[in-house]
Order: sequence, then C-alpha cells, then structure tokens
Amino acid sequence: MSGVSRAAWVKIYKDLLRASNEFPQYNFRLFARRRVRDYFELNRSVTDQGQLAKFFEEAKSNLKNIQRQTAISKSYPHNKIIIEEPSPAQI
Amino acid sequence: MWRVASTSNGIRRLIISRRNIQCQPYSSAAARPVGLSQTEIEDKVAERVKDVTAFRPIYLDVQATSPTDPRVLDAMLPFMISDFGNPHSRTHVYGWDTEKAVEKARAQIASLIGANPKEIIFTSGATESNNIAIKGVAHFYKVSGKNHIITTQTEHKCVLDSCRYLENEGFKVTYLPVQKNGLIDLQELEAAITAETSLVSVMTVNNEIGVIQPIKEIGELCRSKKVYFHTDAAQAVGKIPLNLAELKVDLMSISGHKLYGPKGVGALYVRRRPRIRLEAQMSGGGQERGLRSGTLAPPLCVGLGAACSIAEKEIEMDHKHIKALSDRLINGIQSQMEQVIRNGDPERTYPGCVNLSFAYVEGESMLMALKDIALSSGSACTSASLEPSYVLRAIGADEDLAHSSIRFGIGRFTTVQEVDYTVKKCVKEAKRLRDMSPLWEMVQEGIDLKTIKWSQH
Repeated sequence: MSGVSRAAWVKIYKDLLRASNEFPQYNFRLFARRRVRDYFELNRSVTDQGQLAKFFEEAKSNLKNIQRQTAISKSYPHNKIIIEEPSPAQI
Repeated sequence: MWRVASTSNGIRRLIISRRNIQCQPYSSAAARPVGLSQTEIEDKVAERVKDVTAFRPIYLDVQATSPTDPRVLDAMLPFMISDFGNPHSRTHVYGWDTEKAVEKARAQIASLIGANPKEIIFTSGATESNNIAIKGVAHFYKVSGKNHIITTQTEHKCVLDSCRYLENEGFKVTYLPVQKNGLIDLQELEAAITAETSLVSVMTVNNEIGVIQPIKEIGELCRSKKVYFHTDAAQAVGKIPLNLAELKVDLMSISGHKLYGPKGVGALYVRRRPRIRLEAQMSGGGQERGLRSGTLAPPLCVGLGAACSIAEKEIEMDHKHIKALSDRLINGIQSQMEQVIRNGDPERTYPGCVNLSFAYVEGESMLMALKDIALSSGSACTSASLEPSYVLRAIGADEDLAHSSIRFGIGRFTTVQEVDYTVKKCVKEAKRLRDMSPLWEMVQEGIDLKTIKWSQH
C-alpha cells in the first residue's frame, strides 16, 4: 500500500531529535525535543493516509527548518545558561 | 628555505593579555595553593572569571518579552535577505511577493483570533494599537456628543496614559476599581456606563498578576448598552482561546513580542460588522485602510503571522506544559515555606503569570539574591521607580506585601529543571532573608505587627 512506512517515520523522528540537539541554546534545544515528541504523541492514532502523507511532508520541512536554524545559531556568539546540561552533540 | 617558526601575532597577543591580567586571587600568602606558579594561578583565575561572567541567568520574565521562536525567525529571514521589496509597490515582482507574504500573515493572525483578515491592521506594537483604539474612538465620536471613557485601574500604562491625555483634552474618564482578586465587578461597570459613554477598555489578561477578566460578559453588556468595547489582549493572544466570532469585542490589541514573535510589531483588530469608526493617529499615504499610514515591514509582519500560526497549532500543548510547570512552581514554594501569597484570583488566571508575595522579605533584596534567575517585581515599564506596582495597590495588597512581590513568567521554552532550580533557590534565599529580618523574629514570637506603634526619629 502507498504511504509512509514505519521505518521512514522512525528515521524522520530520530533525525528530528538529532537535529534538535545541535541547538547551542539550552531552551531551544529542550523545546525542540519536547515539541517533536508532543506532535508525534498528538497524532499517534491518525490512520488516514492522506493526512499522514501531509504530516510527513511537514516533518521533512521542519527538519530542514531546524537544520537551518541550528546553523544560524551556531554562527553567532552564545552564552550558556547557569543550569545547562551539556548537549550530547557538544560532549 | 623554510622560514624559522615564530609565534603568530594572535598567539602573541593572547599570551600578553593573559600575563597582563591584574588579579589578587588570594588575600594572604597562607591561602595560596602550594606548587603552583604565579602564571598558573592567574590562568586558573582567568578561566573561572571568564566562566562566571559567561553564564546567563534563567529566563523567567516572559511577560516582559518572550524569546523569538526559531520557526518565526526562519519565516522572517528571507525578507531581510533577498525579498526586500516594499509591499505597497504595485509595479514589480519585489512588491507583489512581499505583499502576498504580508497578506498571508494577516490571514494567519485573523485565523488565530477568529476574525476576518480585512479587520486586522498592522501597527508597531500593542502600545500603538492601544493609542489608536482609545484616542481614535474618543475623537471620532466626540462630535456626536459622546465624551466619556471607562477603563480599569489595573490597565497597562499606555492605556492609562492615553486616558490621561484625553482627560487633558476635556474628556471624562472613569477608572473602575477592581476587587481583591483582580477582576472587575460587572455591576459597577453597568452603573458607570452613561448615555455619553463611547468606549470601555478592559485588558483580557493582566501582565502583572495574570488575571483573566470576564471578556465575554463585558462584551455582552457593552453591546446591549451600545457602547464600544476595546480589550488589550497583548498577554492573552495565543495563550488562552479567543474567538471573536463569539466575543462581542470591537477592538483588540495584539503584541508581537509577547507571542514569541519579533519586537516592534503588533496588530489591531477593528470590527467591521457592526462597524466601528476610528480617527487615524498616523497621517500619510492611507495604508491599512487609512487607519495606519506607513510602509509595512514585511519581516516583522511575516514574523507576527508565523508566530500566530504556530500559536494556533500549539495552544493546547503550550497550555498543558505551562500549567504543569506553574503548579509545580507554586506548590513547590508554598509547601516549603509559609506566608507566601499568590496575588490575583487563583482560578481565573493565566497559569504562566505567577505573582507571589513573600511576606517579611523585601522584594528588591530578594531579586538581587536571585541573581541567577531573570525575574521582575512589577511590570517592566514601572520597575525603574522604587514604588510598588499600581496594580498591586489596586487589588488592595498591603504596602509591605506589595513591596515584596515577585512575578515569575513561565513560557513555552521554560523547562522543568529551570522551575526546580527556581523553587530551590527561592526557598533558600527567602529563608535566609527572613532569618535576618527582625520583623520575622517578632512574628515568630507571636507579636501582631499591626499593633506596634513605630516611633519616628
């Protein structure tokens, strides 16, 4: 059947989380991870293939968005916040 | 022939700057760690100094302004790079593209609040929107004999200042008092409306104590008395559900930077059915239906539109997250300390704005003790003076409680770790300050402070 395979969904989810970890800003990093999880949770039980395809396109464009924004954020000076956990990408 | 290796300019400058750091890290020779040379000690100190000044505090002041969402920045950037046209240019593609983007942003804002895109005009912020609404309506309807405006005592400074300006021009203004919980009394509002009233202005969510006014009921009341209703929804849009198809609101001010959008942009909703007329405050080429002349800034307008469309999709998720954090903060502090009062109605408030009064602790010293956390006591526009905020005075808080109030702003980007850190720090600092306070000692012994006659010297 046409539609996005489970493997493709898992891959885009992991890609989104991995891209979110590139944010130098603590608040944006944690927010992006949380929001990706929230969106996947919210639409967990959707079965309509048309809607799923639309969501997949949105996920892909959001991934590009996050990659652009992390690149921009890294190009400018940045100060850490007092309780920052080290980002996995920065260890 | 190879050149002899030499220290490059950059490294030479670094070594010189390190050597030149003037520091006396240890007060006595006895405290100096053994086995380290002077340069090594200086290096260690320099590193620590660099680290401490490089750490920023936790941001808990979302009512003052909010961080710009990266998705909003992503929508704005093309218009600051290559799509730089003037949206009012009708003759070339630069203008057409930016006009299309601005109209799309207008539709996104309208969709968030349940309005028609033709009813939205872009302004430079909620302050300008409030000015246009209040002064515009007052001046337009003065001709037909209506010269009375009603507002509340807890409004934002821009609304109160606009009303004072109108008073100087000869209008009559009624400043309604609020009850102890921050909400206005509908009976008092009804009694204050006269045949000469043209406008009632009540903000939806207060920026200092977070109370949500009964906008639906006020709208019904004003419509029944044929009085126009303006609401300053800067802190409410995108945070609580607002549907202007149901609420009988004629004018609504929206602020970009409270909504995780850019600073410098806002919007004003002006109802078309039934029509409300305004006198324009900015004269010029007649843009924005003649109500606000001036070239629109495509990056800012697109940013506001993107922020509104994100808010529309995520309002439930944000609300769940912010409510959980807000409960965690309040319960965390109130369970570990007594005499911490929340200002404002406990149910009809927006959870992201928590205003707590720590009794027997001075507010400014508490803020200075909490220097790792970016907070405010009172709103940003009044914090320069040492007076307690007029909003707290209007809700009838005691002078000493008003002085010791702190506003915690929780937003979309706040994390659980930040709230836990805040709770721990607040409790620790407040307990430390209370231990130093003689008033607290007297209260612990059971003396009622109100019965003491303080002598003047």
